[in-house]
Amino acid sequence: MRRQTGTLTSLLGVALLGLAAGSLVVAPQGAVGQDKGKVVVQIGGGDWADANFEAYVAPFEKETGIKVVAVRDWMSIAKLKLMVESKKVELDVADIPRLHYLSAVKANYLEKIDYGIYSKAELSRIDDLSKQAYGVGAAYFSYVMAFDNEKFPAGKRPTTWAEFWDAKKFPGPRTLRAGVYGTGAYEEALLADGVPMDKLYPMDIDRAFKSLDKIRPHVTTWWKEGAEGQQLFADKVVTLGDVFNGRIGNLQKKGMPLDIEWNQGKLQLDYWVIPKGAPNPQNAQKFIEFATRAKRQGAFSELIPYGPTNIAAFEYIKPETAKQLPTYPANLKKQFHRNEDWYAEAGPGGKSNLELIIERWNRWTVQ
Amino acid sequence: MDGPVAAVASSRAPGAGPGRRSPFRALREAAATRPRGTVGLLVLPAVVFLLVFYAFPLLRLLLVSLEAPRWSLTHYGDFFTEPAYLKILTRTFRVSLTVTLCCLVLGYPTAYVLSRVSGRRRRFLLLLVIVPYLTSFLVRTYAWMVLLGPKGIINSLLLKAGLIDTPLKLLYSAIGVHVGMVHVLLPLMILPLYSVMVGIDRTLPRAAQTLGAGPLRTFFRVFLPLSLPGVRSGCVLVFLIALGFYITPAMLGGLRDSMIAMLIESQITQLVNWGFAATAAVVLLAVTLGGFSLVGRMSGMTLLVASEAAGQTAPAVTWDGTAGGQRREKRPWMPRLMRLAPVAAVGRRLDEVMSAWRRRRWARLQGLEARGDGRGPAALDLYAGAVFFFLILPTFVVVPISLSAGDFLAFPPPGLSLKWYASYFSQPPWLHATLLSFQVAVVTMLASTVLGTLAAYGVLRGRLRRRTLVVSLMISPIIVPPIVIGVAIYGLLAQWNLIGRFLGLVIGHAIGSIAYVMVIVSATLAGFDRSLERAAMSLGAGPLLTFRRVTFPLIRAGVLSGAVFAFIHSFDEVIITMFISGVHVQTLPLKMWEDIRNQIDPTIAAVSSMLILLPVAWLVVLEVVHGVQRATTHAGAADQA
Repeated sequence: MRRQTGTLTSLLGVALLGLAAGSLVVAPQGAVGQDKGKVVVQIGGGDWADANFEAYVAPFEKETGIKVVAVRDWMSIAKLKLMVESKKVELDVADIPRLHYLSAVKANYLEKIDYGIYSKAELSRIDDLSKQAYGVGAAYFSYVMAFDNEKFPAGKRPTTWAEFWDAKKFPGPRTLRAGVYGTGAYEEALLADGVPMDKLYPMDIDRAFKSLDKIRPHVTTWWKEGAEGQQLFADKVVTLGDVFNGRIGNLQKKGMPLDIEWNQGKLQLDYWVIPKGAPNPQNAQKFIEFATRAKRQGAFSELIPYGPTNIAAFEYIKPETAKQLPTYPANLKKQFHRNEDWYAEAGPGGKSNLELIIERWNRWTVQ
Repeated sequence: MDGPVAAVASSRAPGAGPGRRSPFRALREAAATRPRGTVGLLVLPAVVFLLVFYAFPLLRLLLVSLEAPRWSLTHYGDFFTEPAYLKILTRTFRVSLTVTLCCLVLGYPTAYVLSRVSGRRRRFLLLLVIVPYLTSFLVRTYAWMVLLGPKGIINSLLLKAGLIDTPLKLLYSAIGVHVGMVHVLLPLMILPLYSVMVGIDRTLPRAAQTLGAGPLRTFFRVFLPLSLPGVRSGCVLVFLIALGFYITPAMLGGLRDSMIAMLIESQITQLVNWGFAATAAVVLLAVTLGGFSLVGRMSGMTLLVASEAAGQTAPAVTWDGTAGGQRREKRPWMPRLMRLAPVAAVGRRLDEVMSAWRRRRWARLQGLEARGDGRGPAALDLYAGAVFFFLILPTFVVVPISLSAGDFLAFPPPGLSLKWYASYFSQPPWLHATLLSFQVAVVTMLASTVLGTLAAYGVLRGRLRRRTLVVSLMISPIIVPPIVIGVAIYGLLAQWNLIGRFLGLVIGHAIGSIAYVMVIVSATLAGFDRSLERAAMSLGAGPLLTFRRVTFPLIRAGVLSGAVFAFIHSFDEVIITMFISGVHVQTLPLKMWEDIRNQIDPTIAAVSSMLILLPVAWLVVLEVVHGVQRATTHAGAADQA
């Protein structure tokens, strides 16, 4: 009897000890850098997050002494809405695509950018599309066609979306982006169906989904986050796909036999933004200013081949890296800009085209 | 037959059907011998907790779906007029049904073989069922990704054998969803089936054979009907839990394989449409609870009485209140509790594996009888062997992957190394997530073990009004889909500023953990000989002393099993956590879930391999504690054997 009680007590004791030890380990985290304050930055996932961390987070901490809490996750318009409307904003900085930026501005979810703290020299080299009232451009990136070189050697691979859609001529498992965030291969579907690159907008949604019907049987899986598309190529699950150029670029660096086609690539822009009601807005402004400096952006592009929004960054980028960037002139002219303004426009019934296309996607998936 | 007290009790619990009289009779008996009103109050802490953090949020969910206070059925109209959503609803039903049937077809013969083998072998085979059951379902689902992928193990082997030219589409398809779900749910089918089968009086089939029935006829006319309660409880449990599945179909399925839980999630994370998400959640909840009570009302038959609690060697099974019915009367089982008895059965299995000594003699006897029956054809053994292989295979397939020297998932691994273990230990996010999960699980375990044990004691030993309601409140979280709970408590925790807080996580996890403790401890409490308590009291011990010196030592194994379940429930929880963890807080399953979606490097395999050791560790803990109990308390359990 006494012995049992002993066992139980000691079990309990071990448990409590573990807890105490645990809180000791966890506690110091919050205490670091109390004097300079902190900033909570969402840095995305996979290689994108790694590059953000190395190019911006670590040097920023070193230079300013401000503690950066890096959160490896993605921001979506839904999460932003949830946070801002429930007044539970735990983040200071996030990056969101222009696709969501416009909706976020319209809904008044973002803090104004304080351009007063930028140096004139830096500010003058940041391109106009990137200098917005509520966000500063973080990087340009593209949805591009990617191939497994072993299955599709140069000259024997599709170069247009129409050819990509041709599963007889180019057989092989494919991946396209899922439409969960309103993103999706809609433009690619229209191009495959014969719509010229300069006549994509306003988009014919019905036609886009009809075209997607045709490719659907050949799509092994639809990726949601950038790293997932990358993983499918790394594991050789697919041999053809429509993925972010930088993700493939980083696999090439590791020696994987992969290639991309810039023709008919879909170019887009991400912004650094500050959610309305962010707990450390001043540090957030400082972080964004730091992350849009030419030298930092140059370092970022070396880590993952995405295009700088500060043109002066090219001075810090190696020539062979520059050729891999979506904003490199030779690459740029083969691509088109996604027209986010069209997505933000209200469609029939007052909902934005973005919302309509998400709903349409959800219905299409269960067909 | 019905005394006045029973009548009153029945009228207090309007749902009480004909088969539920006996518990009340038992209560009346108890009340007559030991009147005490205060013991019932022991349920209060658990009840208050669940009313605030579970019942109230669910009610609010209903109000949100009805757009209170404007009151409108618009969301329901939208739901039931949108073909896509109806399609998802019917698909959810279809998949759950198919999975249930597959589990039955695989599980029935396996449970049969399990119930017929002798002591040591049975112990080993039970482990093959229990270890997968206790292994994190994320790990198991991840293992299926590794097995089923186009470059996965199955396709690689088939390609190498020259049986196929192109990889089969197993992953990202309906096949993947079914295989994964069957694997996750199969133990919940086998264990209740086994519980019932092991209790079937072996002389009955033998009598049938003596009277001239052939083996087939004996099986269909005698054994099968006797095993039906197990079939029913296994099927109900598997079906209801399958309805709310989210992670497995999301990981293994294709575009078309959406289930309703995924619809709820996407409505919130993509469109922030709380009203509609609440509506879908209410529909799912209604279907689940409706199905649950429908099955319970179909006849007076109890689903399952896993009454081999506390040292009983021969489990009693009721079939329309005949066989074993008399014995059951003495046990104040709660009717609703009985329907979830499989959970208790699982808890008991844990005990059983540890305490084979109790059964050894009996099992040996049964083994002899099995041989005497001339049963157990080789084909059946082979079939069961294949099922055991299916159960255990994915659990261990992640181990070689985790030792890979390559950068990506590949089978066979290009070389061996420990670098993915190093990768785990060198990454603070993984370590922090692991630590946090342990902390949350330990606190959840302690809190819910105390609340659940008190509640179980209060329900079974006290005089309670609205007992059925109280029990339903406490154990329903086992079958209410976690996504519904997650959506429901998000609002409340956000209001109280508990999103992303340690306390918030404990609250979210304790809802389910209390239910497991409650069910398992009740099973133990209901089974033990109460004359021991009475003896202590008659010798002058007060209720507290009696509890401390007599009751608790006897139910300690049950309490510990309950605690283990409470821990595992919390340590494994990912769906509720997803909603209430906020931005900064990441538990281990959440980190795994995000990594599986974002970068499937073999670090996950390393984490999974280490997590497989966890159930083994638990079994060792139980063994040790059980050993202590065996050595010290002969009075209760052993003497009943």
